Amino acid sequence: MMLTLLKKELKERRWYFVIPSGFLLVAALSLPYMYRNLFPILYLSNNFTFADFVWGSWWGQPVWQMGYVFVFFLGSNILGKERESGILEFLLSRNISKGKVLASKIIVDLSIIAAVIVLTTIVMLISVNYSSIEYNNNYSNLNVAIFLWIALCGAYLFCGLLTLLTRARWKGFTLGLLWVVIDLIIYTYSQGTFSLTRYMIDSSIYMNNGFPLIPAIVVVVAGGGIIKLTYDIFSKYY
Amino acid sequence: MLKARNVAVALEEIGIQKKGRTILKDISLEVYEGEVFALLGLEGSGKTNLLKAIMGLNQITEGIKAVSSQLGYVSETRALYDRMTVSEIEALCKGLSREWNQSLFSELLNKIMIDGKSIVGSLSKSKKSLLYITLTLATNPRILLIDEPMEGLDDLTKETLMSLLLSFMEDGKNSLILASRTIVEIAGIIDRFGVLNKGKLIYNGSVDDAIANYCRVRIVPKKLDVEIPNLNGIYGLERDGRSILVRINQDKEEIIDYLRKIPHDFFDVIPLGINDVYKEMLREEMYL
Repeated sequence: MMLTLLKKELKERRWYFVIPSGFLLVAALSLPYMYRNLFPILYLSNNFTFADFVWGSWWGQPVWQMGYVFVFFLGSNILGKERESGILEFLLSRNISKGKVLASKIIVDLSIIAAVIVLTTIVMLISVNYSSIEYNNNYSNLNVAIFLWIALCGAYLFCGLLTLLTRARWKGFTLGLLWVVIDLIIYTYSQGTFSLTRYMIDSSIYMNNGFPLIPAIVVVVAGGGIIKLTYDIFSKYY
Repeated sequence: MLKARNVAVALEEIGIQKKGRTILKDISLEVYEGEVFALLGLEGSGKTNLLKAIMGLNQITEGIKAVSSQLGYVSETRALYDRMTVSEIEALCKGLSREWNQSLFSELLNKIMIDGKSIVGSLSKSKKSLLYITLTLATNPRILLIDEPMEGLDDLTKETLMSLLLSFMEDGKNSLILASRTIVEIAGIIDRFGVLNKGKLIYNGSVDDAIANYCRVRIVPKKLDVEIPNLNGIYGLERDGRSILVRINQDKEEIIDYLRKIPHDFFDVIPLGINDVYKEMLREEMYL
């Protein structure tokens, strides 16, 4: 049953993978060209890691900022077709629990976010390797990708929760932007220690301290809480 | 709780409250195997909520519900995934139901003449409704609940739907519960019915009993000042000049005998069809 639901969600939400992937692939392929032609000094300086090239650079930052917009679209559409009157009943009357409906959506969405990041990272890696740009390749690449995923998942869940609470996609989307504002405030006041954004864009944090286990645990626990809250709201009001 | 072996659905004083508002109150009824039961009532009387409560889609806040076997539910909206093809939605339902009967589905799909390649959203309202019912029937329910079975259907589709429902009821073990605003189109197949008004069940019984109890008597008494006493069984009196219309809902024979004894110039007993009886039941509530 769950497999059928996942397949349905995958098919229904395929454009959420195709469109951002297309955009990010163009960004990935154009990255070496941009650096070589527009910022030759940066290109020569060899100060960046690959992760910096990808997510933290002048070109990379708009990429993850677009990532936020993308997950807000995804989050505000958390109910998908089921938001329409009666469609949820169609599933529920087939002995499918609300929990399964919501879980299938969240699993597919989090997988889509991961797939977009993995695909883009691989293409960027290949693209940068072929471009003869030199960079410091180290373990922080994976860390940055993982935290990018965690941060985007957090933003997605936050936005999904707000959409369920407000029962309106546009409200969920707009209020979802608060996530970025909150993160920015945390970034400023904690000097980056608890800011997800910093872990997404700043690979030096990993080079000095290794994988940030405590922030990761905090994020996972908070994410679990948001999922539980989302489920409760979905069960109660839909 | 099931008192007899053949009870399919039993509700005992169930009630539903939503946000402090009473949606349903003290509903007690039983639907038996092999029976077609209709839930009738005006818009907002609580039919859909009761159907959903039986299905488990609405949380019951009071009372007890017992259901003997597998349920199938056809919602009023008949909402399906409009962008899917019929085959895709078939695959989805097949994957979601352990009881899926593929041969029955194919047979029914042939009967309702819908092509597997059709996009669900492009089907007419009538066809979509039939498809929804077919998808539900293919899950092999023992108790089928249909909200507004005839709404928005053309005459030909109504005929097809009737034949689908009659085949469903053929083996005598299945039960059918229909929620409808009108009784005219389903009167031919129902055995018993219940009338809901403002969340309360105001009638629960057979069609024959209802017809046997209700009637109207028009009497033109010889004297102008004749008073019709407030007998148990008379729920409405309408005077139009000398003519009096008496509405009766029980002890019909006794009341007619009593009224006949009043000296009169004209006396007529007007028998009622099931449609009129249903309207009388609703009217009765207005008089109360």
